[in-house]
Amino acid sequence: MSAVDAGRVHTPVKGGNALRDMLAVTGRNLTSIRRVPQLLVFTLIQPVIFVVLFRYVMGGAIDVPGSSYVNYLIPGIFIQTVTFGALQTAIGMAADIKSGLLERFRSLPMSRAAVLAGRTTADLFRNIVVVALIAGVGFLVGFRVQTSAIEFIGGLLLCILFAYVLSWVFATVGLLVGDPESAQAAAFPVMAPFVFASSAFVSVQSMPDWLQGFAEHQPVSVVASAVRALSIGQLPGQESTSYYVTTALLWCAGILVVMVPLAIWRYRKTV
Amino acid sequence: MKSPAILVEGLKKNFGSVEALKGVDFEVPEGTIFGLLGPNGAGKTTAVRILSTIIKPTGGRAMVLGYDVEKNPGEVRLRIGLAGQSAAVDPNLTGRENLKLIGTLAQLPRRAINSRADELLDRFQLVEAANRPIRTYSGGMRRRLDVAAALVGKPAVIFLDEPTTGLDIQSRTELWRVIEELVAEGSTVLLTTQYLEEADVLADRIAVVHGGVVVANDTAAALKARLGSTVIELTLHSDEEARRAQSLLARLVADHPEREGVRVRLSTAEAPRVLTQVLRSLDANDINALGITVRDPSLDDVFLALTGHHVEEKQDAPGKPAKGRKGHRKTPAIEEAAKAVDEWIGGIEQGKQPAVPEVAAFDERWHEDEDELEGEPQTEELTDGLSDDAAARLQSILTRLPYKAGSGDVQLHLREVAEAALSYYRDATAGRELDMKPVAGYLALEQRFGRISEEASAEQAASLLIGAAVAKAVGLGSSSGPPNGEAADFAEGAVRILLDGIGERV
Repeated sequence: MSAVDAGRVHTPVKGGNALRDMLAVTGRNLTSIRRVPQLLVFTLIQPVIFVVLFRYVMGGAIDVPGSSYVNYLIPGIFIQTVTFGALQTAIGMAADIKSGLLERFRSLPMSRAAVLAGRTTADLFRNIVVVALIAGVGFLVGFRVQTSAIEFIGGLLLCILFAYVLSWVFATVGLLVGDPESAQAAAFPVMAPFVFASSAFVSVQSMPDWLQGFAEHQPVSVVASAVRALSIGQLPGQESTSYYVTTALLWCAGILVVMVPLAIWRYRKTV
Repeated sequence: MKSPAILVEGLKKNFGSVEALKGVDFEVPEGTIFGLLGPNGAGKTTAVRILSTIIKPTGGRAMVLGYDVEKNPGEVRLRIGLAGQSAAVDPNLTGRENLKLIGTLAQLPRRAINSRADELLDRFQLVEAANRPIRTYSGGMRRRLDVAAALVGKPAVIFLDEPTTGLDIQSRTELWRVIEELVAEGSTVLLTTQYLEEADVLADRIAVVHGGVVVANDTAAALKARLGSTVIELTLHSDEEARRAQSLLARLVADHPEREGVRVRLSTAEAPRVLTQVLRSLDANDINALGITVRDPSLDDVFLALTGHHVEEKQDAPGKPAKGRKGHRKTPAIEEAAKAVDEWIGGIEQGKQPAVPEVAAFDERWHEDEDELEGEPQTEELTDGLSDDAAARLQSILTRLPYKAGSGDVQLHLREVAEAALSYYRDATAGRELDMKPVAGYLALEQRFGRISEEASAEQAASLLIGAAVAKAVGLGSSSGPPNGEAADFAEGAVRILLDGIGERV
């Protein structure tokens, strides 16, 4: 064995460097996203279609007191985009399980946490790009900030925070399902009620009573309302900006507290 | 005495109620290659996954370089490399990016990573492809990169889980060379394989695994000595005739010949003498063999000798997440041909001449072409599109292929089957729809004789059969002439190429 050990170019450090591992995995995931730009493009086509449809097809029929429908819609589109986009996290995770890449990672002297942290961090960067692009599309179709620039940027950051929280949820989904196609099929039916039975596109008050309770308080709604309040201020008949923002932050914290340990536990079990 | 690089004692692993490993013991001295030989589902991959700390054992102990994989996985991970079935590379990253990623995660210092990646790319002849995403690589290139990735951290112990499954002969030989170099440099290699030949070429010791237990653990030479070095297999017209042949042959060899349906098989260390006697004896007793195969023992023979069972393919090995698999498919051409062959064989059994048009046409063509075929075979068409080296190889083999196998009423046109195999291979590699027609008759015949399972998908069966046909043809060529390792290589390679082609499609 001496021949091999002498050939070793360094003395291995037990445990390694967790941050370096995490950055390496993040870099790898970002490169993958860049090499398969179709995925990002398709992630963006859908919200653009939604913007155009809702803005121009239905926008005329929906009256928003104190503002315009396009101003109401765009914050909802932010949340819808990052929510559906979170599916990519599940698909990416599942693809790495299926291909056997995670098995190789598992055999390496790397930080156990780096795989999940690297996946969610890469998706954080992806979501920053996505949110910036959607904001651009929004401004193009007539969206205007009615609060201050600082509040609006706060809204975007909240949106990105929510996306980050979701990436932990969907990383867990990916780990549970373990197959990209199934991940896609499994996640959509779960996501759709949250996105559509929410305040993202229309006011919750227009929904039947039995649905309102859920639609009012579920996280997608709350975060959409918070981002909206930060962008265009408090609308008549709605809670205050600080109420929505506080509730949204509580939701994010709550989900993270549950999902991060769950994802790590699942990761240890899966691979 | 030095402690072994790998020590496995009473290793057990259950997946739910499935016992993948039922108490496995072996040890691997430092600086040697150890082969775990067995079919899919035998537990090879499970053993590798435990040793490489991917999963934990249910019971027993596994030590790598003195570290317990369960208690000290961190220490083990610093000293091992893993490639093959259980590991993968990222298809969207380039070869160099993959190596650098693994280098970082293997905790190489930053300054060492680039030079190590360059060194490995050079060694595995991937310099030109270094900056292309892996998804553009050929199967052989991808496998080389996979092995290179296992070596990035300069590990003392390397696990290669079926590193050459599905590779063509040339890529396989290249990988073999690299593996031998690794050991020359002092590494210890644990190799799993389904190919006896591979274990034979590479491994200092071989453990044969079957159903989660080690059924034999010995040197390749000793294993082969137990088997007898050559297998002679006869195919006869009927069970009755096969029984007669079996009792005749029992007087010729020390080991009792085995019979299964119309087939009689015997192993011998003295193939030339025994084969001559077998043929004489059959002739003297007026038995016409349908086919005669002389070959090196296969994995199946090893299993038959060691366990008394054939290799059972477990499709969804518990050691690995199950992959989607298409169910049984039969193409109309094969069903038709199967019916035809049944009728035809029924006819022969009642002493009638074959009256099935397809078979008759097959036969007629053979007679018509007989004279013409005596001359130089036309091989240009076949070698079209192959590399110069491969073409030359193929040409030299085709000129030696016998035109018919067996004697008597049924003539298997192996050369035609070999040609079909090649066009089939080309279609498979070009992603075209596979044309099953040329092989349908042959397929049906083989199914009729029970040499392949009816459960096998048509394409799987076809690939196996065609490969087997080529092997058989080459085997016959070598039994009448001087032994021909190259031809056997080709046959083996053909089987793998075809299986690989199928593997990606099924």
